[in-house]
Amino acid sequence: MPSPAPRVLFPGALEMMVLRILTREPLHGYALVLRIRQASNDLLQVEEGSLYPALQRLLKAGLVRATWETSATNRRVRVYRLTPAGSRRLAAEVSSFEQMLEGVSRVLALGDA
Amino acid sequence: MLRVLFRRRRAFDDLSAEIRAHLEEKTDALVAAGMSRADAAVAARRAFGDVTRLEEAGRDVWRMPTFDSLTADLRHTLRLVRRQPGFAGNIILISGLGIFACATTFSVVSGILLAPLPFPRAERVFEIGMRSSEGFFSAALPVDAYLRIESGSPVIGSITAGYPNDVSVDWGGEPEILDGERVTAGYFRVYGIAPILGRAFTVDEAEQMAPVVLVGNRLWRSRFGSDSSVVGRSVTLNDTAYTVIGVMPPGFRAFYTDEPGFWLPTRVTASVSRFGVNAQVRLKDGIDDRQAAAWFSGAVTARMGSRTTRDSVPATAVLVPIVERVSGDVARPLRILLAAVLLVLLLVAANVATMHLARTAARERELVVRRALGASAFRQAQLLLVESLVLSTIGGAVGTLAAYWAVGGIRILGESVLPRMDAVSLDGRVIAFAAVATAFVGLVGALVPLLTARDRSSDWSGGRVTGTRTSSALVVAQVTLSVVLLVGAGLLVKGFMRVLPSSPGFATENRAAILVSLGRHRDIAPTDSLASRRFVAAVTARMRAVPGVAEVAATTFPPFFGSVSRSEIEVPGQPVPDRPFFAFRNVVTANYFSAMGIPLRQGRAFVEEDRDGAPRVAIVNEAAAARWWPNEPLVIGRQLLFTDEQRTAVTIVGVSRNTRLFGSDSRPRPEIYLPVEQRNPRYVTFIARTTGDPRLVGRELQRAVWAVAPRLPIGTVSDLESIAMRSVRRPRFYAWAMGAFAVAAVALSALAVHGLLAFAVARQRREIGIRLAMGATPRRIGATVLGRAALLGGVGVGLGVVLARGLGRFMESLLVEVTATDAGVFVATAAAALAVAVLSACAPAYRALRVDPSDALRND
Repeated sequence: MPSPAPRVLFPGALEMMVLRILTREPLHGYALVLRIRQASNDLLQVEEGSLYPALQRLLKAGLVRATWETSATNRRVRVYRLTPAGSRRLAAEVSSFEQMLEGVSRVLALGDA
Repeated sequence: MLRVLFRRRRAFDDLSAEIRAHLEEKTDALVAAGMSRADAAVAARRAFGDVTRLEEAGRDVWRMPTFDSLTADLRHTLRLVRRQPGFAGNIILISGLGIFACATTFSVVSGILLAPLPFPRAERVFEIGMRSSEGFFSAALPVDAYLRIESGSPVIGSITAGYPNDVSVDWGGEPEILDGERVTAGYFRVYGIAPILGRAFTVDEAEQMAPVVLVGNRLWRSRFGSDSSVVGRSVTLNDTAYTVIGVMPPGFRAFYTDEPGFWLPTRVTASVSRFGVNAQVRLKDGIDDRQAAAWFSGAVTARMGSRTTRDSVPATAVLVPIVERVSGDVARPLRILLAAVLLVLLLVAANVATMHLARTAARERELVVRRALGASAFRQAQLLLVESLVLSTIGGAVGTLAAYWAVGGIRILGESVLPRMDAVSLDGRVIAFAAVATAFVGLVGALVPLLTARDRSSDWSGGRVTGTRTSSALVVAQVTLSVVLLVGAGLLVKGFMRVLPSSPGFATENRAAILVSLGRHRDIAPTDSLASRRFVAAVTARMRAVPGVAEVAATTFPPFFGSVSRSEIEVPGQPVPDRPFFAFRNVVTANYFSAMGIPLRQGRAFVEEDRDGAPRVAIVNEAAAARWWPNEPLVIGRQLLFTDEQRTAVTIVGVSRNTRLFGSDSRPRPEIYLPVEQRNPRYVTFIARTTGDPRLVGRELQRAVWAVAPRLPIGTVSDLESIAMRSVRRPRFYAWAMGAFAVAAVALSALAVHGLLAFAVARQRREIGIRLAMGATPRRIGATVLGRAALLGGVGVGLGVVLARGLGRFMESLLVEVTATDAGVFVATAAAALAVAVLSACAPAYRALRVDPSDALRND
C-alpha cells in the first residue's frame, strides 16, 4: 500500500470532521472541502484530494452512503449521507476525542501557575 | 464473491468520476473568479494533490490482499499454460484422463447402486426368502407360509406374490409370445404405485384370476400408440379375451431387468403355486427392518430340501432388501471396479505430483530468488497450490465433459449388460465426486513438492537435487499400483478367455433357435406323445425345406436358454449315495448332436431304431460319466435308473462332450439325453443350422411352424451366437473395464519412470560428462540408467505382487475358472510391468550415453 499523504491532521480526524459536517446536510465531495475550510475559518488546510480516500474508508465501513444526484448548479455529483451507524460512530468518536483533548489540554496547562 | 467483485468495480468507476467532477467544479469556480481556463485547470489539480496517487489510495481501501494475490497467481498459471504448454498440457491430460475414468465409472455405479428405485420408499420393500439351517437360501416361500403372513402379521403393511407368466398375444395375425407377470392384488400397495390410466386389480379379480389385464407402459406406447382409449378394449391373450383395465406407469418394472408387457391377476393357492411363491412385502410404518426380520425368523418356519442328505432340514424366513434383487449380483463387481478406478486416481495424483516435483526442482533457482526478494513462504505455497489446482481443474472439467458423452454411449451399450441403465447419468452426485477427485489431484500435486521442499535452504548452487528420494518413492508407488491393477485385469481377462463363446461345447455359428410350447397347441393332449412326436417331425420337415437351412434338430432344453429339467437318478449296482445324483435331462431328436456340433466321445448318437418298443436308451455327457462311474473309462452299456418316474431304466449308448448348459461362464453339469421317439416332448426348441445369417430365415422358420399348427403362439427366432455372447457380456464388460484401467495405469507408471530418469539424466549431464571424460564407457553410463529403472521397477513390482496377492480375495467373486492366486497371471504381469519400466528408461539411457563430455562441461 502506498504511504499515506503527509498529514497535517491526526489519523481519523478528517473522517470525524466529514461525519460531523454530514450530520447537518448531505453534501458532495467538493462541497465538503469548501465546508471544512469555511467551518475552520481556513485554519485547516486540507489537501483536497485526500478527502476521497477518507470517503472511501467511510463508505466501506458503512458509515456513509453515496448516491449520484444533480446539484443546484446542474452538475452530476456524488452526494454523501450519514447512515445511522455513522451517527453512532460520530457520537462515540467525539466523546473519546473530547476526553483525549481534555487530557492533553490539562497536561499542556501544567506547571505555569 | 462475484458480487463483491462487481461492487468493487463499481466503486472504482464512481471514484474516478467524482474526482473528475471535483476538478471540473473547482476549475469552473476559479474561472468564475476570473482565472483563465488553462490556469484554472492547473490550479485545481495543484490544490487537489496527486490525482493518480489519491485515486490509487482510494482504491486500496477496497482491496482484498489474499484475493488479489490469488488473481495474480491465477494469471501467472494461465501464462504458464501458454509458456510451457508441454508441462501444463501433460498435467491437464493426465488429470483429465483420471477424472474421466472416475466420473464415468462412478456414474455407472451411482446410477445402478445408489439411485433410488423407481417406486416410493423402496427401502421399506423386501423380498421374503427361506434360509435353511444349512445356510442355503431359496427365494421360494411355501404357500401356506404366504397365506399365514397375508392373513395377519404385526410387521408388514402389505404383501404380494407373483411369478413370470409368458403370454401369447394374438394381434389378429401372427401370434407372439410376450413377457407377462402374474401378481396378487397387494402388488400395488407393496410397490406404492398406481396405473397411470384405468385402475389396479381388485381382490376379487385376483382371487378369480379374472380375464383383466394391465398393459406395460412400453408396450402401450409401441403397440397401442399411447392411446388412452385402450382402457376397456379387449385383447386376446392365451386364446382368451381379456379386458384392458389400465396402463402401468412408465419405467416401472419392480425388480425385473426388462419391462413386462402385461400384468395379469393371480391368487395364491397350493394348486396355482406348487413350488412356493416369490413374495414381497412393504413393512408397516413404524416397524424397522430389524424388528421385521426378528418376527419373520420366529414366526415363519418351514422345511427345506437338504443339499447334503435326503432329508429335509428346518428353514426360517429371511428378508432381503428389494434392491438386492434388482442389482445385488452386480453390486460387488461394480464396487471392485470403483475401487480399481480409485487406484487409477491415486496413480494419477502420484503422477501429477511427480511432474510438479520435477518442475519445482527444475526451477529451484527461481523459487530461491523469489524468496530472497521477499516472497513469504506462504505466498510461495499459494502459488504452487494455485498452479496445481488450476491445472487439475482444467483437466477435471475436460474429463467430466468427456465422461458426459461417454455415459450417453454407455447407457445404450450397457442396456443388455447391466440392470438399471436408465438410472445412469452424469448427475450432481457424479459432478460432486469428480470435483472432489479433481481437488484431490490438485492438492496432492501441490502438497508433495511443498512438503518435500520444506527444508529447502538457499543452497541451490550446491548441486544436490532435492526431492529425488520423494520422486523415486512416488514412481515406485505408481509401479506398485499399476501391478495391482494389471494383476486384477489379468485375472479377469484370463477368466474371460476361458468362457469365450468359442468354448461353450457346441457350435454357435449359423444356428437359429425357436421355442415352441406344445402346451399351447389346442389339438395335442398333454399325454398324447405320438401326436407330439408327429408334430416335431412335421415341423422339422417343413423347416428343412426353407432355403438357406441345412439341417434341423429339436431339443427340449437347449443350452444357454435358462430353462432346464432336472431328474434324480440312481446307478444300479452302486450303493445309494448320501447325496442323490441329479442330472439335467434333455429330450432330443436323433440328429441333435450333429446339428449342434457336439461330438460324441464314446458310442453312438441316437438312430431311427431307438423308438417305442426298442430298448430304452440314453446318452450322457462326460461330466455325468465321470461323476457316476468315476473309475470306468468305458460306460457304454451301463444302466441308469430314473427314481422319479416309474423307475425306468435306460441303457447308455453314447457319451457326448460337455456343454455349458447355463451359459459360457457356467461349469459343465451331468446331463442325460433321451430320444424324442421314446419320450413325450412338451417343450420343443427347433435348432436350424443355416448356410448364411440365421436371422435372415427367422420369419420363414416361424411360418414353417404355423404351416403345421396355424396360429400357434411361438417365440421369436434367436441365433445361438448372440445368445452365447449375451451370457458372457458381464465377464466381458468387467474384463474390458479392468483392462482399460490397467492399460492406463501401466502407461502412467511408464511415463513416471521415463520422466524421473529423463530429469535425472538432464540434471546430471555434467556428472555424466565428467565420468565420460574420466574414461567411463557410454555403455556403462547407459547401463546405470537402465539399472535404476530396473531397481525402481523391481521394488514396485515386488510390492505390487504382495499387495495384489492380498487384495485378490476381494476379486474371487468376479472370477470364472481362475483363482485369485493364478501363478501364470502373476508371473506374466510382474514380467510385463518390469519390462515396461526398463523399456521406458531406454530413451533417457540413450540420451545419457550420447552426452558429449566437452559439450556438457562447457555449457553448464
